[in-house]
Amino acid sequence: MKPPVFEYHAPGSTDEALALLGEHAWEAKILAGGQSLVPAMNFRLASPAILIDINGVDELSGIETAADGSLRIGAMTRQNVVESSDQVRAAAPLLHKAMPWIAHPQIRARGTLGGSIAHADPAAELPAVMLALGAEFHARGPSGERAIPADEFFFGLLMTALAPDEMLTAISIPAQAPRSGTAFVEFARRHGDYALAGVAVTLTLGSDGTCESAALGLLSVSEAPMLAVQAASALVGTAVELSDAEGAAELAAGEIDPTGDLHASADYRRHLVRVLVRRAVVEARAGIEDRG
Amino acid sequence: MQIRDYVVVHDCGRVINPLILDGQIHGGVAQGVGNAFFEHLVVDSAGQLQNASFMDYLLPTASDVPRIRIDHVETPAADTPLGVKGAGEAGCIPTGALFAQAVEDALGIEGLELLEIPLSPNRLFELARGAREEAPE
Amino acid sequence: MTDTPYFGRRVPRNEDATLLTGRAQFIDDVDLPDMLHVAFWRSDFAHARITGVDLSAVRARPDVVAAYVADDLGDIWGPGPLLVPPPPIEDIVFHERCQVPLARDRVLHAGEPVVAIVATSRYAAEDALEDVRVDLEPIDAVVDLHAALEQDAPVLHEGLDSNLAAHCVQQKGNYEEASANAELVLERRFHYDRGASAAIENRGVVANWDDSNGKLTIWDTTQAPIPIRNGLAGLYGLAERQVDVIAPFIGGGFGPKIMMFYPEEVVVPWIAMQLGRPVKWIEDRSENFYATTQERSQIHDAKVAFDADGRILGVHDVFLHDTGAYDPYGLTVAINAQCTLLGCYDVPAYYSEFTAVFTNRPIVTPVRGAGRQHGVFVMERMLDLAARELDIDRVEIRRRNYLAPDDFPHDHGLVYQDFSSLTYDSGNYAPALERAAEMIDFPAWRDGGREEAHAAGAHEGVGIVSYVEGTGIGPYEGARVSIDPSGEVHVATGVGTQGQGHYTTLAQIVADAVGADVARVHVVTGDTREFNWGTGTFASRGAVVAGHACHAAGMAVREKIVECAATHFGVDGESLELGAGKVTVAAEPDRSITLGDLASLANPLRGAVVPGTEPGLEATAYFGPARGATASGVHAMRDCCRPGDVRRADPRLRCGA
Repeated sequence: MKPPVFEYHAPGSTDEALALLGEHAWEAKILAGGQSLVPAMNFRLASPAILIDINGVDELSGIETAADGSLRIGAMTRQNVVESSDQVRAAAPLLHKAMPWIAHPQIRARGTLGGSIAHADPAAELPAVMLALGAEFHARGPSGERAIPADEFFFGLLMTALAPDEMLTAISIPAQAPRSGTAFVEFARRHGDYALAGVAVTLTLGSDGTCESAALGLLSVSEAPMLAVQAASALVGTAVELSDAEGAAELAAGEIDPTGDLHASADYRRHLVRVLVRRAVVEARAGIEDRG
Repeated sequence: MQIRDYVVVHDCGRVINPLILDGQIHGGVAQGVGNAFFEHLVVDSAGQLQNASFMDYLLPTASDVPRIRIDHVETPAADTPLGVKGAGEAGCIPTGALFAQAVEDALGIEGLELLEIPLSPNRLFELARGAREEAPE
Repeated sequence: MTDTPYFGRRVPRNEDATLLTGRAQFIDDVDLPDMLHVAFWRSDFAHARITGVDLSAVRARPDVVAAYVADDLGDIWGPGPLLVPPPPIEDIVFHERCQVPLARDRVLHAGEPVVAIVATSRYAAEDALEDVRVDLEPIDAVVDLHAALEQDAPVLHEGLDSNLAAHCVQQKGNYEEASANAELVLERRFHYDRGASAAIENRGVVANWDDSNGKLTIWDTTQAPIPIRNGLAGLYGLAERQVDVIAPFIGGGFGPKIMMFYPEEVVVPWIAMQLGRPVKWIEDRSENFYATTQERSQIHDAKVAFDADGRILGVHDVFLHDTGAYDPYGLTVAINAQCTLLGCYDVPAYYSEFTAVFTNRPIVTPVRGAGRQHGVFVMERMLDLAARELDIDRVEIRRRNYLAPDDFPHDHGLVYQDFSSLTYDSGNYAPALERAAEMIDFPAWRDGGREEAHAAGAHEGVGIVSYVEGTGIGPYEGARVSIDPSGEVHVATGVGTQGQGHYTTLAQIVADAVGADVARVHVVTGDTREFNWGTGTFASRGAVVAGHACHAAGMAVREKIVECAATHFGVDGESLELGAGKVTVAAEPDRSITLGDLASLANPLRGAVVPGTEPGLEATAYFGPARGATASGVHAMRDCCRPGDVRRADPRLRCGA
């Protein structure tokens, strides 16, 4: 369990990091918190020839709240900083709720928001949460910066819209709308494990008290983190009663494409999604303060 | 599944040091919990281990092992001057049988018999579904 | 003993200060100048023929010092020792097939080592693994226990016509007759699948050959340093006195660290001798899943016959036991399962037959519990099912079947793992059952509590089971107790320690015997330089067997203390009191002498040590029990299952849907 030989760079700025990335692209890997990459290297499952360690790039860390209440979070912001941020708690309660479910405190102390998103593990919490939040990812490459909506970012197993010479620099998250509720639920064998299934929900009610918009991000149930689009649209226009939640859960169970593995068969994952979506929707609805 | 209470009444003859004995039992129960519910070396038909890391071979962690209430009965060993008996393995010996019985009792599904160890949520789901399908209406 | 200020008390652990301040030496803390590091190339295939090995690229690497395959090992290559021969049971069949240090012709499980690479660092050694070229021709793997015994199954071992490793029948009474008039006969198949021992610390070996005095020192995470010393000395053609084996602090043993003569344990010291340099190998967690022994796969087909009152009339159990690719630890696990199945119960007729099976999986040897839990699982589950069928409560059906307090000693008429008869020395089971039932509130649960809870939608359950544990088996352990002129008491014993608290429990026994302060009693375990005789820590025997050896040695020193002090004070030995590190004339409390001063007196520079006596306050003693001591107990739990429930922060266990 020792990594093979690699070349190590520790740039001090984003520009420097991008220059290195531009030079080495396919051979290089960016080292953020290292909570997935380093174990993979120790198991010799990943053997990048060049490691670009961006832990010294201070400009990539930090949380800013814009005038419209939205958040811009630097990609290198540690997960435990996000977890304890009052700004995050205020603008994106769903993200705040989901943070404790990510692995363990030791891992969150090192792991970064951007690292987890760029790694795009379908079983990780953050990608599914970002989908449910309608987040936008800022990437920089040789041709400058571009913004990628979360639902156009995740492609397949550990695959994202990032080009090999691009890096994720920041994440924008819209402020939670009034009359909105959120929930995050997952089921794992032990606390801190990758979940067998999980759901992140955002619900917004209109002035008539019916659901105006809904988003359900699912984890661990397909090749990539995904939105349960049919389940979400089925909720729109309803009063989000228990039966509506059950209907959405049934639809969600139908639109996923889970694979069976060591810990859960595809059937069991479908069962879990049915249970978890129902609970998450009920919880999100119950959390909307003004039930008018 | 949640263990709400766990009780051990143990008899290893005369006790040399109750503090250390309790520790032995705690550790044994922790391993027993692992054995009953978490730890499973899974191989495919080619003899390849499918879970050769602690990410997939699950050990119970501190938050998965219940608080254990212990009491002692002392029946001295018959053949030795100090009357002590060993205690090294006791904690983990009955845990599998206990889990199976307690989970069966909790699920209360007609016809469900848990005759295998280790169990897992996935396996319980399968067994419960199987029992329900076989149950006469 | 006249006074026992320590025995039975919650004495804080002597070893904790060392452990908690990071001063304890573990295997990877052994760091010698000029040390080399070993990595093993292990087969990816579970079953394959080795047709060629090419190490030229490995040997060409600048940081590689040496690389070895089986043929390089010369005389030390060959099957390891059979550690536990089959017990003397009539018609027992046992095929001995022990592991080799490096596979030569065939690999029999994934992870079996084929090549040892020695390099200047572990990193370099692991890099070099990627240059190893081994040609393997895969053979179908034998994994399933039933399929393993079928005619067309590939056979693992040459010279055998099947994968049957052993076959054994033990019985008492006549099951068929006993069950003829049964009210209920239950017949079920039970599966108990494999787990790892997963100690916090993996295995490791560090070895150093000192040419100047012809001495080999081995630091080894073994539970049994003396047998390892003896075995390796013999293998390397050295005298036992030329080899020291030191088991440092060890982060958990649980069985697999017993005297296994693992490939790494045999090869690493040999490399140190070849190269004349210290060599280290530390097992990493990935290796541990393949290279360290495991336990638990058994499939039982059991029948239990009950009368209408739920009394067991007879048990019939036929099981398959997976012994893995080799069987160096004999039949201990299977015999334990066979013998522990009877549990706390009076079983008039028992037929037990097992077949041990070779499979292409890592070797099976005892892991904490060592087969006992398989037997307990079968019996306890059968009692639960019978209780349901016969409408008897689960506590009552156990109580009805318990051996009575006056049934002890109880000879089951079977042969146990230590080759002696399966005889329970003592026991009294009902009080523990009643206490556990009361603590878990079983009567209320039985009398309506369960119905109420389930009617309210709570999927709650209560379980209660009992078990016995055969402990404290032979052959023997020894201990030496000596009192230093400083007053410190030294105890040395041959067993190893992997976290059991021996530094405290053994110290308590000796402190009481010699009247010393327990904190001044220093115990050394697992170091052949300190004690030359013994077997090891396994089978729940340390406290019993080494404990009694310490007691005997302590009592012998006590006699010397009393004799020496009686002479010193000119009083009768009977009039002396021992305690708190000194000897006092009972009737004259101001006349006392410390143990340290007495130790000085016992080792005079002038005068004469009377012929027939010995200098100093020191004694060595041994203890060998004729048979083990049977411990027992009851576990009970209350649980809650809500299908599909979600985990939440909760101090209590939640482990699934």
